[in-house]
Amino acid sequence: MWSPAQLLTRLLGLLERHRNAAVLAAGLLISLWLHNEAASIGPPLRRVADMALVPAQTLTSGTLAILNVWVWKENRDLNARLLAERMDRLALDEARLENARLRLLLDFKAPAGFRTIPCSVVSLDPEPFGASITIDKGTSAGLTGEESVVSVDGLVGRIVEIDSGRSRVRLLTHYESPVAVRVQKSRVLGVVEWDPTTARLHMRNVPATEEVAVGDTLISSGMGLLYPEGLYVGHVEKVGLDPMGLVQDIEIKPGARFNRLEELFVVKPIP
Amino acid sequence: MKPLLVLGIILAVLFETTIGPRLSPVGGRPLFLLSVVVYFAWMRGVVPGTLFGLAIGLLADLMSLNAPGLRMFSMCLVGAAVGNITGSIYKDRLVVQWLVLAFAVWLNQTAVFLVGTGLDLFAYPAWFLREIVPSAIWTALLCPLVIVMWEHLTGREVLFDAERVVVRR
Repeated sequence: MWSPAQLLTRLLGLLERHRNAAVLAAGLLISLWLHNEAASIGPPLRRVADMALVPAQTLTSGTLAILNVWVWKENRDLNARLLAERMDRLALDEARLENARLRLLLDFKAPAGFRTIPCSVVSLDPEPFGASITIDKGTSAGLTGEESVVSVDGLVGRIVEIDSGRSRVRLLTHYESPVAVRVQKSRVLGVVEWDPTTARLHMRNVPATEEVAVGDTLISSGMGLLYPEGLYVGHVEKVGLDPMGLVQDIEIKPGARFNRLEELFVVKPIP
Repeated sequence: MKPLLVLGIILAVLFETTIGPRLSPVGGRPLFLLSVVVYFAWMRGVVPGTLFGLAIGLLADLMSLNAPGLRMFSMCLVGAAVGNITGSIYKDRLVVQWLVLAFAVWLNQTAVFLVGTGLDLFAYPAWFLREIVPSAIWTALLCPLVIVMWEHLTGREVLFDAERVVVRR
């Protein structure tokens, strides 16, 4: 039998002989331990990293925006869209006034309204297993950390971490970012989730008997309380049945262009 | 840590989080931070490369909403694997750099996929074509260019072979 001192000496000798493998094994074990057990220390560590990185990222993103020679074209397109939106808005205002009168007649409670706060993207992380962005608005702009973020094209994601001058937004293309949705035409309910293995948004939990067609518009349903009701999410791109034949396998084309996120809006409920 | 290395890491972080994601509309993206690990491990060997990969992987995890550990794991592997080939191939040949960077991207993204999905091998071929191939091309094409620019700006060689240095002395 070896004494503890002999055992320690032999162990140290073994580690010395296989130093490379020992360092690699220790590194991999630490990584896996952190991945499985210590997810809770992520946000505070991230806050420290952001404090150091966000100023430089803001500067770089700002410079990129100035250097973007194609921005004038986008601006022209946006102005055209704005004009169309204003004309739609007029018609919508008319309908809203009429709706309010009818609600009054029926003694019906109106849903809460929203206001939008413009913000810019400071950094993007398109990591397939954790897509997120950082925006330049935080608690100092009146945000609470539970707001949704949209672009002119559609729903982008939801704020999950917040500081005084910046917020971290979990995108719809994050594997833990489900959205409760409704098909606008048929009123069918479901949940839209990102599948990182196929890089597609899928609408889940829709029975095979429900009517969903290619091109149908999806809006957030407000169920689950993560996202407010009525935000445009995307449209149906492909409809099929899952292998069991019980529920539908529906592929969604998101409205937001996740590789072209620059100017966004935080959606804040009006109390 | 040397100031030039710190500057290199900061530039890689800025490229990876601001310019890189906007470059690639068809999927994949240049992995600048990974290339810093590759070049460091290539010059220093297995143990420094593994430890450096671990540290840069933690930084990469903190920049995303991953649970810490995912890219630590993958970059630690890359640091060890690339450090292992130090001295066995010519570092300053462009084709060799392309191949090593492409191999590093494959190893890194495969490790991320396998840990992230819990070994979902059925989905791996699609992931390989959609994520690994474009990322490997982007990284292998862009990172050596950055290195060449870096060498011109600083007047120092990032990659060199020990034999060549001996001849020069």
